[in-house]
Amino acid sequence: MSDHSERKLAEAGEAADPNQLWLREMLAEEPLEDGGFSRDVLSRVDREGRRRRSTQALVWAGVLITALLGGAFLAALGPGWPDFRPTGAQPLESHHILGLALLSLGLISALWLDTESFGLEI
Amino acid sequence: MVRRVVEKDDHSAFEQLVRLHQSRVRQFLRRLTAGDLERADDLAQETFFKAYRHLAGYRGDGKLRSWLFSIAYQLFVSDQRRRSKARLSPLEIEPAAPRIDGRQVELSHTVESMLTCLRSEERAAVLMCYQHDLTHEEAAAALDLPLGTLKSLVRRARLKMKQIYAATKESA
Repeated sequence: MSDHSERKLAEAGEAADPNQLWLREMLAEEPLEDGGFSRDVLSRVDREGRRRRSTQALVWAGVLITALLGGAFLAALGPGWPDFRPTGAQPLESHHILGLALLSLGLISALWLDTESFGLEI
Repeated sequence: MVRRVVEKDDHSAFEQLVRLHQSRVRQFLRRLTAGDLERADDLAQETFFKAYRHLAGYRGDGKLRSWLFSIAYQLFVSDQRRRSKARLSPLEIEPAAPRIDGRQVELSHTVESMLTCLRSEERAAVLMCYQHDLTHEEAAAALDLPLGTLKSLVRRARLKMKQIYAATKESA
């Protein structure tokens, strides 16, 4: 039988069984038992979650420490530190502002820090 | 259930989702990988893990099942590509059109061997539409194909399978 005739025959069969029951029956399978599959997925989710949180915490800890040290260092460079009075005789200088900005960044970092990883409550 | 996972990071709700869909996703991947159970289950685990990470991006405009199949198929294709590069897989060469002779008929006794006569896209489309009851629209979205392309893919795959099926029945 030629390819063309085979195709014609197949197409005629298609029309006779529009729902393709033969194919559905052939592909049908019994549902698979879970057999610990979902437990494995969950433990992977937990593991990856912990790893992500520790990485996140390390990054934020780095930012926090850098900002605190940098802020303290820059502020200490200025005259009159730590006896500094913004409204008094001493004018606020640019290094003070930079130092305060870095300190603020440090505090914001601390607030963003993943407290669960460190067991801290902020 | 999806909302509970996204909003409250509720792991028990996610476990319920996995339990609900694991059978279909694993069956789909087992047939895509031509019965390689270990590989299929690794890909299924990866599918659910990826789904967990991106569940917030699930728009809920279709069945969750078809969204999971879409992830599973993408992972299968990437894995297949990786294996082809490493020359590890016997499926690295797309199968040629089946020859319906005596030897071919002998090899085609199982559904799995019939499915290996199809290209991966055809296999995925047939499984989605006829084993897992997705509509053509849902299958097209899951495979990221235009609806017309999906329909002709399904038709071609069905004809190939029907030829093998008929030949098998004749020889039996």
